[in-house]
Amino acid sequence: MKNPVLLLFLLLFSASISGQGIQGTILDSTNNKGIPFAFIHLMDINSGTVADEHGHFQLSSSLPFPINIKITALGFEGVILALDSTQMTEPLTIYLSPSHFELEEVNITVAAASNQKYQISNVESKTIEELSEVVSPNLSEAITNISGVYNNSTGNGIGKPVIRGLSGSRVITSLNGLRIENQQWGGDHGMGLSELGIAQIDVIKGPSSLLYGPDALGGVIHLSDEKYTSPGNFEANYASQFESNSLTFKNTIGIKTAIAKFRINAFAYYNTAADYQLPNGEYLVNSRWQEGAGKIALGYNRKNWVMNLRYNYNRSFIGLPGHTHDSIVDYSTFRSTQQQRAWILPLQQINSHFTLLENSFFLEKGVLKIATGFSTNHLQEFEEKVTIPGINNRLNTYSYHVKYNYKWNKNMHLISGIQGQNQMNNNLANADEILIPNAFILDNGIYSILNWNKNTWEIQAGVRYDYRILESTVSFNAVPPSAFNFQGVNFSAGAVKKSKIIVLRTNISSGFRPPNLSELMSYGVHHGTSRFEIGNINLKSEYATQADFSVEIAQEHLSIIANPFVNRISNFISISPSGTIQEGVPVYHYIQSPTAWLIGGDLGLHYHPHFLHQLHLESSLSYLEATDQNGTPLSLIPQARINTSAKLQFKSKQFVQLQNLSVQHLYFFAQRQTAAFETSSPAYQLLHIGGKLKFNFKQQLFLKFGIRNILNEKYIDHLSRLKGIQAEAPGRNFYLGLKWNFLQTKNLHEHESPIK
Amino acid sequence: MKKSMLTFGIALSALLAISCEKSCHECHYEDANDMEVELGEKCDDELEELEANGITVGGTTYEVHCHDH
Repeated sequence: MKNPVLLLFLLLFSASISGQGIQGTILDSTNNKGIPFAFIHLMDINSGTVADEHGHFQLSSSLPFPINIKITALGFEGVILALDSTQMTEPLTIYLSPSHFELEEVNITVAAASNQKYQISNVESKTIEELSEVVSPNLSEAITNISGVYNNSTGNGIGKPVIRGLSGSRVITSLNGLRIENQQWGGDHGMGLSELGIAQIDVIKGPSSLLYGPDALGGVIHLSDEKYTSPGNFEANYASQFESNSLTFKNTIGIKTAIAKFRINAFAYYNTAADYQLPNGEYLVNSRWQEGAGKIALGYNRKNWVMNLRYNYNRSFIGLPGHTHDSIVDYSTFRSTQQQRAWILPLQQINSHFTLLENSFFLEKGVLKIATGFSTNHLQEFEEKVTIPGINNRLNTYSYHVKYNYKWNKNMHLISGIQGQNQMNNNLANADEILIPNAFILDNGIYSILNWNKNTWEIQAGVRYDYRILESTVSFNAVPPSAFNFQGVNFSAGAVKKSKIIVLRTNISSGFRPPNLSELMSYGVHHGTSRFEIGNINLKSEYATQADFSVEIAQEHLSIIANPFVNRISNFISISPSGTIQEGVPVYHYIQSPTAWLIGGDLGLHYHPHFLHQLHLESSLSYLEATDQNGTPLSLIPQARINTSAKLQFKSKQFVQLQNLSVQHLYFFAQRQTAAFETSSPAYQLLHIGGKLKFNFKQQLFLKFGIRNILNEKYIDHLSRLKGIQAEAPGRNFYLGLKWNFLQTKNLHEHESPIK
Repeated sequence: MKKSMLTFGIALSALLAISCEKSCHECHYEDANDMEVELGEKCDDELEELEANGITVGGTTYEVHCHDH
């Protein structure tokens, strides 16, 4: 076969698998009784159904094979089954074992579908519902409920996730597999996404995954959309939320429907927040922000083909507090006794479009997935004029990812792929300043990962090669158009040994991050950070090597996990003040240290007592030390944190039902290990409470309520970008939200059971 | 069903209505005596024109500021 295109064509369309259905029964392994209303999630098409009261279920006759299905039921340990067509000759019988703990989240982001605790990479998964038991002001803050993850914030409007002390360009955010590119090099450039339509968040800690390309030395945040509804269903819901501290109003609507092989989800959202209130009752001027978003997902499947088209739009206006032109700063001018919502300068205006088309082809021995994406991020920072931006950048990104998951035999499968993206950064004509030049960036990578499992062992090893070309297309700051080439070979290898009580996991991996355009070539005032930033064209790529180990001991009512790690990064890039002033702001240079060491770990405990089944007690400790080759602390390293929560879950059939009640206590230790130009941060503690009521109307209505920072603690987190203007975080905040599933019609066209 | 669809339509309309905002700002310039001269509220194209080109009074062009910070 000399023609590779023809070979690919034949591979795609000569698959002999014909579409089949799945039917079966889900039984309790202890007594062989059917488990009523268990969930059956078809992971590959992001849809599913619910078993009937006897545990029986039936799915349509046009499903692609091989297919991964996840079976979960309240009070039982979830399972994942990889089914091929040969197993479909008779109805399935699936046994679940009782479990007192909440269901382990299932992760599909690293290499293979499996329960979170059996992943070879260090990955922690939470649903958005779990992260919102106490409501957070933004998505980045919500993710901090995951151990080892922090938020580098600029008020409530801007949040950047920090994983194991690293953020910005060192953390990749992936939305359903599409890498989010939104000028994340900027200290004041936030995550750029809301929680709209998001169902699950997986955090991969460190450079252990080879599926996401270069840069992720800190890790990956993978966001997965809500699943589709079952065929024949139509669902619509409306959610509204109010927060007292910043007079925030948040409104969301969502629709889901599926007819035969077509599925559609659509969501829209609008959030408006005034200046937030400080613990002393004053308001932080220009901490106001607004955000609107819309997203739509279209799904279609045939016998051996699944297609998903996803589009996401985000638009935000974000005030930047702490602006001054005075050389001697009077911090009191940043506060006011009046709470305002109307726009003042400076502010960021961001428009982003993210589009992803995924096609999965289910072949006899594996699954071929082809994903193509396009995103555009238009960032404007307004400083002195409301119609003429100080900075006006548009970043267009075209990306592709072709991945083949080949099932070698029942114990071994191989994932291979090619992945890349093409970016164009353009300064638009009417900007007052140009901070980074117009540039073109091309990434291409190839990888292969082998997974092997047998009995109690799971082993994975992989290698990846990446090549990046970064080329400025105009002369800038006396530097003529220049091309920079970077390349890296990385690996990841690890093993999991599991038993009934203990799960041991170890992983060693490497990653690399070429310097970004800002680090290489920026020259000018960055209004969002109030700095004059100067790049360095001599910077080299960072290389990281991480060793990560965990031990989890899980008994019937108690689970303990310890997870130490060490991450060594060579050629570590940072930005450092020069002590001079240019154009009225301090000058910062990008510099490079030979080595950075990040050493830390997480310790977690989950207690679910037998005598009080409604109670879940969870506590985690996150700790990190980060130094350069001389032992000098790095800047912006998060404070050690103990996060403890007690949650009571209730069941009743009364008209008004209290579903859960949570109390969360966070203790942040003082951060005294600071870089030369940093100040230390004192310890502080926060107490939050949250609860959820359900009203058993025909159309379900949920009411969320709670208080953040009950103690009205006055604190400035070490990672807050408002530390420089001595602005505390928000004080006490009452919130109230409702969610109304106002339309639910089910099974209009097919005989499948409904999905909740 | 009809009632629910009507509710949904109202919610959608409300969401769209509060999402739309006209861009208007109070503008001023400082004259030759450093006195602030108010120009009132300016919107859209007029606002953009003033910020880009300033205002010419008595043959002198002054920079116009349309913001509060």
